[in-house]
Amino acid sequence: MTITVYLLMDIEIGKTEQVLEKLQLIPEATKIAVTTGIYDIILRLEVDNLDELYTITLKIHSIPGIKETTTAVVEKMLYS
Amino acid sequence: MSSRTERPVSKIAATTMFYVLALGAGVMRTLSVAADYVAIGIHETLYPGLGIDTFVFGFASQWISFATTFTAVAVLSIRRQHAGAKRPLGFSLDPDFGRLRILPRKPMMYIALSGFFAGISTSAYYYLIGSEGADTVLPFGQLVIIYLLIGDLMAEKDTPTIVEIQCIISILFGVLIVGVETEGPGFNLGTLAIVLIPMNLSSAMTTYYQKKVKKLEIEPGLAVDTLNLRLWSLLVLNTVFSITAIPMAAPSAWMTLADIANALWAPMVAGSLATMFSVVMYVRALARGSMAVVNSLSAISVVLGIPVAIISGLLFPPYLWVDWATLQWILKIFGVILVIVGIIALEASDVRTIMIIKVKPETGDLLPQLFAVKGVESVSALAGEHDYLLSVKSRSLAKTRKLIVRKLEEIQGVQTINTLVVLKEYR
Repeated sequence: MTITVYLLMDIEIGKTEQVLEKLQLIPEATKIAVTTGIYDIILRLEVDNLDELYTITLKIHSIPGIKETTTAVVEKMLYS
Repeated sequence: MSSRTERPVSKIAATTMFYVLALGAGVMRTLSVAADYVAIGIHETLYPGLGIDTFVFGFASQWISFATTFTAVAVLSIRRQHAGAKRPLGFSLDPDFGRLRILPRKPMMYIALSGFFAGISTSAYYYLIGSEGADTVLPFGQLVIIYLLIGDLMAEKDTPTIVEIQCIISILFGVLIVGVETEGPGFNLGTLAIVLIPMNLSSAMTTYYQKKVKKLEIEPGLAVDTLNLRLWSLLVLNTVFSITAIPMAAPSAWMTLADIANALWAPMVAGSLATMFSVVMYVRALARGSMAVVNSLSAISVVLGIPVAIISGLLFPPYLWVDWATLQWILKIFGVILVIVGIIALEASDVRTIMIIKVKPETGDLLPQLFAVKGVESVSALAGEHDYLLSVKSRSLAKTRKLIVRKLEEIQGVQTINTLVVLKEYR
């Protein structure tokens, strides 16, 4: 079963484009939004299990320019 | 098959992709019209003054289109190694495409309905082009945008704003003015009624079912692909059209069927491929935006039709020669300006926001209430620091504030709402 996860990111000033380029290379990323407000980038991932999420999170943490991430696992989703 | 988890996020921003698909559908439709001009030009050159029965022409054209689409979808099913995974050639046209196949029952039912209505609309179209004064009435076919706008108002969760309606009306009047004929035999109300009722209503229903089928998931993360959708809906369309065409054309006219198919198969195949690409792009755009907006953008084909008509006139004089009066040129220029202004304004007015919500302790499940708010495209219940994440679409920040945030604030249990405006999005 696929697990959907949101990664809410705080990015260092001037590093958004650089981080964005690296995030676009992640095959499990299904949506990336550059935003204004309390977070700078919101990434949606679709993974098969929590092990896979752990590996991807480690990979994301190694991208230079990301200050902080908050991981939110989706329990239930409704969409039109 | 490639579920969403097996595909990387697009390198192109989501809004850009939407406009590329919707406008691309219009460009492809223009190429298909160009192929029709070439077909008529060749026929007139081979058989000067003989005329052509539109139903026989349509019959040959539609079935050649089905054979072409079937072959193209079969070829696009061939798999090859790409970026470490085996994918069909059709993947780049539609990432949901796996291979030529019969789809499950529910999508097949919607496809059949879209094909049925397309069949009625196509029959009405071929009836009109064979009747007197068709050039004057056919531009009114663009009024389908109004039908779709009403459909969007009823079916979509997001109500169109004044800006959106202004842009749609600007494009609509633009295409009507571009298509208008200042000279000609005129038209009667009966002919206009065929355009406004069976033709436009069926077109609107076709679009509605195409959107509905593209929104269906045949397995988690995998939507119905547009290539199989085009192929099977074309089969139903052709069946409905053939049932109408056979009694409509004179028996003697059917004797020319083989000649038409032999002489015109090349432009008909080219036109079929252009239509296939047009439908693929159009339906993919429908999955991303509202019906009226997609139709307005793809109506760019009417504007692009001007150079196509001029070039065809130069290729096949005197049959397709364009001899417009100054007034008509002025009207066409005004029409083009209205279309372009509408498209640019529409593109500039799209606002997407993400809202992160925290709820008070001991609050129950708010998922259905949050999802019921107009403009909310998706709601995710989250584990961790935040409770809900909402994806919201509107046409202005003022509307987001006035209509959406206020509604969310009224929901019992909501403690805080953080609004994040999306500057750029990749899907």
